[in-house]
Amino acid sequence: MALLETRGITVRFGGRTAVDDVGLGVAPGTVTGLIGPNGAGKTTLFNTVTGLQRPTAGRILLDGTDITRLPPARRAHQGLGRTFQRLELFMSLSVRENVRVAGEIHRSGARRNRGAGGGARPDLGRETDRVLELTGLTDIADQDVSGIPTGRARVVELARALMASPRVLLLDEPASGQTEQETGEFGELLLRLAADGLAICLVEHDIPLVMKLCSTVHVLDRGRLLASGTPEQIRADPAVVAAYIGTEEHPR
Amino acid sequence: MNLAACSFGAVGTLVAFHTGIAGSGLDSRLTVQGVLLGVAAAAVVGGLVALPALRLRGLYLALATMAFGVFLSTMVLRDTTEHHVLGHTFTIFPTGSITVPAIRVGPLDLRDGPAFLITVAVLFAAIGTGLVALRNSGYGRRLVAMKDSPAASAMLGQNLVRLKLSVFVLSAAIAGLGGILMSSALGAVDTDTYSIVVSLSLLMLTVVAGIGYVSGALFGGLLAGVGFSLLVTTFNDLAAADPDLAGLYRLLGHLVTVSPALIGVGVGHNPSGTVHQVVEGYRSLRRARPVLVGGAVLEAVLYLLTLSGAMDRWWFGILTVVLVMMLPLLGRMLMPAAVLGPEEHARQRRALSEPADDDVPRTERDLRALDRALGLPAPTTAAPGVRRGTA
Repeated sequence: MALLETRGITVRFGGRTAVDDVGLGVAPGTVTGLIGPNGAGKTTLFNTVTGLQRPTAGRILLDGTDITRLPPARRAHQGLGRTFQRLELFMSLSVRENVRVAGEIHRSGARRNRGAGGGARPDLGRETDRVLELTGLTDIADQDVSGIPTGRARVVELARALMASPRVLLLDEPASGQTEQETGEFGELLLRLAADGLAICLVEHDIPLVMKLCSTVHVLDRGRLLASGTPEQIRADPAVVAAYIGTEEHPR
Repeated sequence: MNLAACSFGAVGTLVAFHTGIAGSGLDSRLTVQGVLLGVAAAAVVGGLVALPALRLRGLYLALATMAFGVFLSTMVLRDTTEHHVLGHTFTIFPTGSITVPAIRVGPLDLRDGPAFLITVAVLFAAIGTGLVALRNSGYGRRLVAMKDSPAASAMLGQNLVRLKLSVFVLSAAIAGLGGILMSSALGAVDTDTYSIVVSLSLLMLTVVAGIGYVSGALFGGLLAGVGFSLLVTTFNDLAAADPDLAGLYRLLGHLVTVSPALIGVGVGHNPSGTVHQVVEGYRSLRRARPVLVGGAVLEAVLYLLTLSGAMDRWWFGILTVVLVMMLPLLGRMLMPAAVLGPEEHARQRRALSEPADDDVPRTERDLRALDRALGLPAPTTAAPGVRRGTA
């Protein structure tokens, strides 16, 4: 059963339709892939799901609740987390502070959204350390975030998103800018997170990575859902190969 | 950004004036209640002004505050007619100028100059310390996070409007308190006291001194309040007192008059402000203990000399400022290894002794050091090595 679901999502910018009647689901405990050529509407779809972009039509359901009209912050408190294709780190803070402030934001809002307290919660400092450890960032925890390479910065964004205790995690091209080794470790980490019950949706151009991690892959082309299925089915789909995978070796 | 700090000061003053004056004639005084009410009113008005504008980005918020400032000084503060509302008769700004008496609480009478100075200094220190503590708290980090990336903040669950509103209300409250204190220091205030131009020049001096630093606010305030006129008169006095050096003093005095222009140049060179530079200098001094201790000893000697009367108080002030500004530079000259860190020092020496040879391949590290030495911005993390791809 899908934890996050979009139904008939359509986004139009003036006369151009960026996303056209897209319905897909992301199930807990799995990694779902979203691939497609540039301009296919992947990031627009993410922005719509997270509330940064209002859809022209369609609904977004999180755990059965309609969140289509909620502002981004409220969606975050419902358990929706994301990272950005263009890095959106807090540049004047250190790695540790980036991660910690995410917890602080989460808690300050959670107090209002669910009343005071909420049971015993682990110390924020310890929680930060735990996430840094989990994501393998402990060695650069006290460096300024502006100085670290893109590959690690993507991991910082992931760690930051984890501090808000998400149920669904949307990752926008997390492997771009990472070295092969970093990508490998990142994939391991995502699989471990999914095994803990997180629903992960991944927009990615690194096809081998997507095929390795994902149990379901959706292909977007010019705003429309071209195909959905297991990695094997997608790889064998002639329409997908024609629209996307086949063009990888011969960029337009 | 708030371009109308003085207008919130005016709101605070007006409310304090209408609610907080006890006694009459020479015995009249401003009560703490009045001050608190004034501060609260400034905060509430700040929130109301900001509420519609907060959904906009920085510049529009700044313009909205400016519009409020103009509205207040041309409409409200020129309103000298009597109003009858619900049976009450009142005048917002009677006779175009109001007399704000000094605050008096129990034995503390702020009509007394030194007492006022000390109280204001203590209040400033308390608010400053509070703000520093606030910045290092979770709330402060959330503010920084919102400034750096509103989108990421929102996606972590931050209600941006609420956070902006809270910080704006806080700043309006502080401006309200400042306005009340300023008014009661001046004794009588009129419309021009709160004109938008005053707000803007205050803001400029704060930016020059160091925006984002509490000490920047102090430095900017001192410049605005006493700085320029005081320096000019000081140098004139010194010239009169010491004819031998009169030429030098006059020259310095003239320099002060052109200093606003120099200040502009300074902001262009260093957008973070003067204090930022000084603070950075001291940060690099942390490893050079002897220099710091030496500086402290020197300052103590200066103080003792002044106390014993061997030295003029003005000299003490001037030498102190010079010492504070020069210490980081001295440190760099005396103990370069400690200040710059051993690696950096060794690299600089190498760079000086061997001219760069273009046949030798430079490492990433060298390039970064070079960038820093030349003051170029570091390459952004996203720029190199990013794979193609936008969705």
